[in-house]
Amino acid sequence: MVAHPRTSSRPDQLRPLNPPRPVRVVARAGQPSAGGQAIAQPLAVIDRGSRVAVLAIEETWWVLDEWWRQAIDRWYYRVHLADGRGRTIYHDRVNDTWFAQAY
Amino acid sequence: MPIACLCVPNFALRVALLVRPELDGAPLVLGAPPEARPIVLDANPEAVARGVRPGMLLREVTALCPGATVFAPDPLREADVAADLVARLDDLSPAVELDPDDPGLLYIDLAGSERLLGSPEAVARQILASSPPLLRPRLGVGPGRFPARVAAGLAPPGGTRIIDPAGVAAFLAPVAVGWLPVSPDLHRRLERLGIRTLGDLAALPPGPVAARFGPAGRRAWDLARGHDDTPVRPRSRQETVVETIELPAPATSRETLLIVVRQLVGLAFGRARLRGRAVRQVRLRARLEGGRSWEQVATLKEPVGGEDMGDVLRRRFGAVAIPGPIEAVELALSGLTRETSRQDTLDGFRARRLAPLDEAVHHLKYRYGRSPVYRIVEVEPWSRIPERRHALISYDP
Repeated sequence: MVAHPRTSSRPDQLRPLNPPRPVRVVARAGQPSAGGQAIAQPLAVIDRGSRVAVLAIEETWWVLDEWWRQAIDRWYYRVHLADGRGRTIYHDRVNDTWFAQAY
Repeated sequence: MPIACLCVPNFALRVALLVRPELDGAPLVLGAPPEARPIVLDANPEAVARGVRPGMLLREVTALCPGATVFAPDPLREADVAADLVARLDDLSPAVELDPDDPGLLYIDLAGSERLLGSPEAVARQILASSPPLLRPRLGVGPGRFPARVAAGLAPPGGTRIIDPAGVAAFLAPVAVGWLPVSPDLHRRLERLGIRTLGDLAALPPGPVAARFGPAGRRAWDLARGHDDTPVRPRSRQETVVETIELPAPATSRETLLIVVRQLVGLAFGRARLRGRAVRQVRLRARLEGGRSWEQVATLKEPVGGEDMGDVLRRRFGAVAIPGPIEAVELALSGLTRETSRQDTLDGFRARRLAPLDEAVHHLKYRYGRSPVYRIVEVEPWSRIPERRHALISYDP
């Protein structure tokens, strides 16, 4: 681990690492599953002006947290894109917006 | 882009008929697995004609259709039949895609196949011949996935429907909008506006359709006109390590299953292919007494190596309900990757090198007014929210 730098941490110096970055995603609205969840299906990711089709969804998982205050409700997708890259994106189900974020 | 779609409706029930062919033509029902709520998962047309519907309770089937035969899902056999179908079709085309949500739906890219296999009719005959007749496959050939899918759906059981590229719009025009692969909400909105056929939708100008229904509506409009350039995505050939143990006697206890799983993990990670590697997906299959089967798939959040796999699987499968006496267990490990570990301190940041670093940071701070060097600190490393796990903090000696 990194040795202690001998200085106190100040909150104003803390910068989030790996913050989510907004991306545009073309998605198909999901069918309600057995659990009642309607999970959107990403079809293409539009990032920095270029549209890349989603070839395969390799993995999905749900993160629901802090429901007792400002709920965090995200469906993560590990997708394989047509340009050969893998990306992790998520659908913020509270605001109906999409983000890219390494998980 | 000529694409063929091979469609086997009621796939699980047709697969069951491969074992009990004498039941062909009788009402058949696919029930939920024993540990799940006892409902109908699927019903063949003979059962549907007697009022059986997917989703209803199995006990209602007895009242509606006393002669119906109820099958339990047999994922092992279904996967084997689907894999066998794909393997046979691989001989005809390099691009064969099995729909991940429906094992009874396959897409075959026929681009360039005419010279090798002959006319579309000849190709269709060869595709149909590659499937067991008892599955009653329907084949559609069209200039895209969607036209091929509709053609397959409208083909007679065991038959073919080939759509000429020039006539695709005319073919799709009378087809109900229910065939469009869009959300139920969009279906409802289309029907509410009186758009009942693909021809109705295709006749509308694209701009207002996109404005009213968004990108999904625009895509639906394209599909309604027969334009679908979605390619056939051949499955990736995953490297998989499979180990199987036959039990000396059928086992019913969960503890026995876990002991066998631990044994399988030891065998798998003892193989040279898995040495020093980690795994992202685990599929556990069991052959049950009476010819049934059972399957569980666990996708792991992080790659797991041999040391931790036993514990991880114990947690994952420690509470599963075993649907019957187990005769054999198969463990398939896929998504093989190099073993991962948390990143260690970089050489340049070790304590003995801190003095020169501190001096360099002092210089930078003097020049820029603040330290432009940051270090990573753990904030909530256990958090499920990725941005909460670590933060950058100014390195200011």
